[in-house]
Amino acid sequence: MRGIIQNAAATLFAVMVLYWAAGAYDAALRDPRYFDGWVLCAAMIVQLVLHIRKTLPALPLGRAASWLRAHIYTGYFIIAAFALHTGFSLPDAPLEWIVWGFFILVAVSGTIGAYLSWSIPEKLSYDGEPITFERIPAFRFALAQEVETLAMQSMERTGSLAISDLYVDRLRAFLERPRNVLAHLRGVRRPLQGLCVEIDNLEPVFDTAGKETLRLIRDRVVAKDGLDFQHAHLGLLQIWLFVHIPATYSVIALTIIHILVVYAFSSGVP
Amino acid sequence: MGQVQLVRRPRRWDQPLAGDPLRQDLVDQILCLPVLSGIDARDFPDDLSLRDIITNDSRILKFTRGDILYRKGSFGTSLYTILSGSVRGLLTSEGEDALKRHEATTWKSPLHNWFRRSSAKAGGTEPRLNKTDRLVAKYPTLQLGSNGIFGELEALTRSARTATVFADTDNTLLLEIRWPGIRDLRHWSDAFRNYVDGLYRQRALENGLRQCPLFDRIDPETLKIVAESSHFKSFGRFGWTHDFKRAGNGAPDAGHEPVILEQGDYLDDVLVIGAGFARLSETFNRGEQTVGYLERGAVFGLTEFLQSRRNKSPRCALHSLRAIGYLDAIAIPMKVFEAVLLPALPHAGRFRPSIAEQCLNGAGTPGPMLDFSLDNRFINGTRAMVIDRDRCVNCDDCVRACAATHDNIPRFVRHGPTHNNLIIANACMHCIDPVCLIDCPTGAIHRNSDTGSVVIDDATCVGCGTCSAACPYGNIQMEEVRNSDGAFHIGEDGAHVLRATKCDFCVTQSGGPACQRACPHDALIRVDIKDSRTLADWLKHAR
Repeated sequence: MRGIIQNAAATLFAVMVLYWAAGAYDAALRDPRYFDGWVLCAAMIVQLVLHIRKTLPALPLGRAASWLRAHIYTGYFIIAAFALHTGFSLPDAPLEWIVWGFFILVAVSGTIGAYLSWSIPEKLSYDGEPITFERIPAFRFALAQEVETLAMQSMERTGSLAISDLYVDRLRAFLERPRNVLAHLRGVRRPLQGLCVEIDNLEPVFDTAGKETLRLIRDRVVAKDGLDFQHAHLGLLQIWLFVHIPATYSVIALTIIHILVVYAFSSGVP
Repeated sequence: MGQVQLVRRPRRWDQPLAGDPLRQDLVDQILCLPVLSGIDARDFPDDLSLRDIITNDSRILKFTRGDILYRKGSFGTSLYTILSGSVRGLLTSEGEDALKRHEATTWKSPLHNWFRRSSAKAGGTEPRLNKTDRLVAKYPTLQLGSNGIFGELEALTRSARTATVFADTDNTLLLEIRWPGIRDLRHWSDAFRNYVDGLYRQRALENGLRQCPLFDRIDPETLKIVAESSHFKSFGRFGWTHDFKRAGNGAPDAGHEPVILEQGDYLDDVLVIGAGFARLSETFNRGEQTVGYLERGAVFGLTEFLQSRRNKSPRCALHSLRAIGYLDAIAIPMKVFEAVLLPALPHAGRFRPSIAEQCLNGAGTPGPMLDFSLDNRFINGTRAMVIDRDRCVNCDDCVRACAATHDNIPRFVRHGPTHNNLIIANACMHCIDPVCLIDCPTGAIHRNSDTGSVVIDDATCVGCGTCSAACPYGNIQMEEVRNSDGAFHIGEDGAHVLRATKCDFCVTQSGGPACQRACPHDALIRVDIKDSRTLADWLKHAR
């Protein structure tokens, strides 16, 4: 907590210095937007260092955790600098609207990403074994195969279609791809309970072996639901990056255009 | 992909220790040395002859007076025989401290240290000591002359060097035999085994006592007297690692932890742990709970001794003591301890149970975590990879960083035994006792002499898989070797050429382990699990 307070205080101090310096620039009858604009641009370049650090892990460039921390707090500084640069007002030209929109997208996705990276691991850590996102389809396929085999064996052994019907009508669709993503993200367990009730309702009509088959199927359904939980949250951890990173590159490209346009149409007095 | 390249399968002696095989006339002379002369060459199989072993697994080294052969705390598993001249070893901590002080204060220290590191990396020897005479005159040393043998303690136990050894004369000639050679000589020759093991037993008692932190300031003469009255005790099975692996990690089995003493047993000796680990437990309700463990250098029986002296009560064990797999201990009779050792301790006048309790490890660790560490034998590791699931976002940056620093092949798996929110990933832990390097035919898997990290030399690995099979934690993988174009190496027999791979703790990286540095959420740490303070500090660390 002390570290968070220190970093937040340092960021606040940097923002205050920027505000004071922009004021001083303004007092000198110069356009402060050139000053805070270039500070903003420099800070955005600093933000790219995290990406460089990540792509060159073998170089002794310090710990990625420190760079990420710097990335997050510099991000907050950039939001303040951007607000100062825009004069706390909305844009008034199409190009500026586009730059503004992408910047907001980067800022919001980054802030949400920081929150998700902080909050989701704790949720995942208490729900079964840690699983890599890329391995989830393989586990899901294995579970689906096992349930299908159990259903087929049950039909061959008992001649009853009860379990195979349940499999065809309800379980196959449930097992073949991720389900109930929103429910998992909201922490709602209702869909799993519904399936389990359907499985449990079949129990009275089976003998001991059939009951054992139902128990095995139920275990696998619960395991699949666990996979869906992991998939939903791990997916969320990845999706925000798919927004944040392309939007970041768009902002960089648009910033370059913005600078060119500003200097192309400037009066020559910064 | 899919292409193959035919190669000659690597063999044991592709890279002799001396660079080139020793000349046969030299080998003839070496075989006449007292340590080797009792060996019957007919005991050796045809494909592993005595002459081949000496030719390839030994070399002759020349030193000048003051040259440091190795330092206390460095790692090496070679055995040395003095061919001519003499060497000296520092016997006391004071001597070692004086040596460090001298090196730290000398004006050329940074240059000196740089040279020492560069020289060691190049396979050379350390630079020579200045003021050797003063060191020898002021501090106790042990001199070994012609035909003397040293280095067997570390070779047999895979532990750090216990003393700094330097050449005492100009033109000191030594015969160095590397570990694979020593192992095979011991295996095939009873005479050599008896000779080396006898030497080990003779020296290990005194040395074991000297390595105990409680006794390290006691003068060598007193320790010698104590050593003469003490004896070795071994508990458990040396091959516990195989039993452990077969049973599956984390499956505690009482059979693997033989009882040394039950709580309440009368104590005849003070036990100094020489090698291995011991679990301390006490009766709780109808079962037992672990309260800590002892490792090398720890003393058992001291608290009991002090309590019995204070309370005039019988000396009964306060805890049960079990060998975790295998344990070597030096038993000092209580009478000897009281009469000889206790008065010689520097803090004898104010010796309290709290001092004895310093030997107890894990006392501050929560019970379940302690049991987890002991049951899974993680206490053997010095650099375990611990992942905090409460912070890990599964980004795989650690794996990517590892791959990027190791030819695109990650050296660990981000899975492993889990306790609460902690995963102990399948990454080499660089064990205190790395059993993986015992049976390596070439010595390709070895300890880095400076850091003690267990590393594999790709150039000499023959891909036999012995280390992989020996690792009780399954942290060494066998990979198929490819060339720079991605084509698989195929041996003369048509099978893939394999190579052992494992975490090398990024010994070649100046910044430390890439996995830890790459984690953006500080969710991964390389840590000695026994170091509960570092672990707790890391877990508390604010995000």
